[in-house]
Amino acid sequence: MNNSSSGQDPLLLLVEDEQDTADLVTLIMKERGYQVLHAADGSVALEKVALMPPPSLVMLDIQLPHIDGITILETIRATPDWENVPVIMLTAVADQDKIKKVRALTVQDYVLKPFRQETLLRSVDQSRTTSARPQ
Amino acid sequence: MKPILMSSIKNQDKTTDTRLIGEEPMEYTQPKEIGAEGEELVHIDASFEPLIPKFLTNRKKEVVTMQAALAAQDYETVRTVAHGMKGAGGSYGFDRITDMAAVVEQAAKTGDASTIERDLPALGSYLDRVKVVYE
Repeated sequence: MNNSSSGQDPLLLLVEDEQDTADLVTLIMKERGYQVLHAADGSVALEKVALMPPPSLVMLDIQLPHIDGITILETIRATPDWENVPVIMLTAVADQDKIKKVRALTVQDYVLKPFRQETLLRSVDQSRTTSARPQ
Repeated sequence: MKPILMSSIKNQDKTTDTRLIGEEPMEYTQPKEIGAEGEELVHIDASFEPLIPKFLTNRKKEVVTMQAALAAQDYETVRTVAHGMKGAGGSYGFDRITDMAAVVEQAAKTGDASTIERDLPALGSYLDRVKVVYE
């Protein structure tokens, strides 16, 4: 079951290797009413995808130690229960080829770092109204 | 397929501007505001205050890390650290950190030691001078 419908605070899986950025996103999202589960590298993130129920939202960096964010996104979209989880890419990578790959896998938004708090929160609000897969 | 949004407020690499939806890029560089004792003032969201001391301490450590890496001609470490700093700086409200880190990151990609040698001390000096005003 998706955590967003469990009656608890919605759960965000944040995949981010830069600790200060993770701390900032955690602060912002906790104020927004989310529980935040932080994975600091790609290997830990893949463990979460394999072992835990789907969260309400994933925020995913691209440039990560061990396994990159695009591989994690591919795994999310190929994993039953997780395939429709909203994903917001949160990255300083503006490379055209990588963005094409991300588009093919469908994400709710692509937020470039550095980000503004209001931009991030607007993206979160939009992710609630768009599905991961086109209907 | 539903297009992804592009909520970033600045694209760091104008040659790969892939914005699909969202506002126009805005200029990031903050105008310099000098305090009475010559310090550079930066206005930061008061809700970020608990995170700022550690954020600034970590950036100073990263300047030292990049200086050591430069001395060893380890441009990949310089690039990686500068990439993370570029993403974190402006997210906290320190746009000049992002601007300077972006220059260092680009120089590291091309092995441009002279630019890094010029800009790392400037970055360190900025971190020593900056004074945060919470609002």
